[in-house]
Amino acid sequence: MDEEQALRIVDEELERALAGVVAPPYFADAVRRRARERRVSPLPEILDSIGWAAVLAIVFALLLWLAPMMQSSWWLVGLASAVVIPALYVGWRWGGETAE
Amino acid sequence: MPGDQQFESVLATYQDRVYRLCYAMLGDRAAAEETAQEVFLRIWKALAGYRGEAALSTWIYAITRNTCLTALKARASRRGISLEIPGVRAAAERAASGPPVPDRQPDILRFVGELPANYRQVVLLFYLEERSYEEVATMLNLPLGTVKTWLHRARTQLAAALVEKES
Repeated sequence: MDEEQALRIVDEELERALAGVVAPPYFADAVRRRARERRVSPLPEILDSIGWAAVLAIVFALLLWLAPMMQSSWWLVGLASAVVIPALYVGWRWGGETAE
Repeated sequence: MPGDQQFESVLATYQDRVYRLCYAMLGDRAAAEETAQEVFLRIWKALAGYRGEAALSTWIYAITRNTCLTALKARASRRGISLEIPGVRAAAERAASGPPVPDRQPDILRFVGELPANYRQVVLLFYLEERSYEEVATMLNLPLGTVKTWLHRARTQLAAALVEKES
């Protein structure tokens, strides 16, 4: 067998061996199923935020207890912080995970 | 959702090409299927951030190549399991003394498997993608001339292996 003949056989055999190499029929469904499983849930961040809100509320209550001369407007600042800071944290974490 | 529609369109258009690129880089269908699924999960997560700086196909093939390289590294590290780990040596000895696995792979694919990795990828993709040099160059991010050179050398080596087998 000369080289030209061998090259022709290489071409024919490779075409035959590799004919019809396509993704299996269930491929797209498997990808969709795995994508659904990986869809990001906000629940862990919400639970985290509840925890952080509790921590901030306790810290603020301790501050008030230790400094009774604090003005009443500080109460509002503290309560607002206990809501706004965890909310910012949730947004930041969730946004980061969905952008990955 | 519009993003889901876009993803569905990408999935329908590229699933076979991504699968074939994975097959060419990894060399077996099971690994290609698993890795191609991982590629589409990465695309699904990143599609919202795709700004069109590169052609969509170039972007998808880059994700595919990177995912395949990660899979190859993981495979290499798994193969590097030490025989000193309890049970590993015994399992290796059992496998070595067991009956040989029947080899149903056509000769030509065995010869392809013996080529250097870069030649193997080019030759597999060339025949998988209906002999398109341009498609192979895009998929592997190689200059067209390199693809032609590697393919020529790979075919010559395969032909020599066939001649040697015949003689």
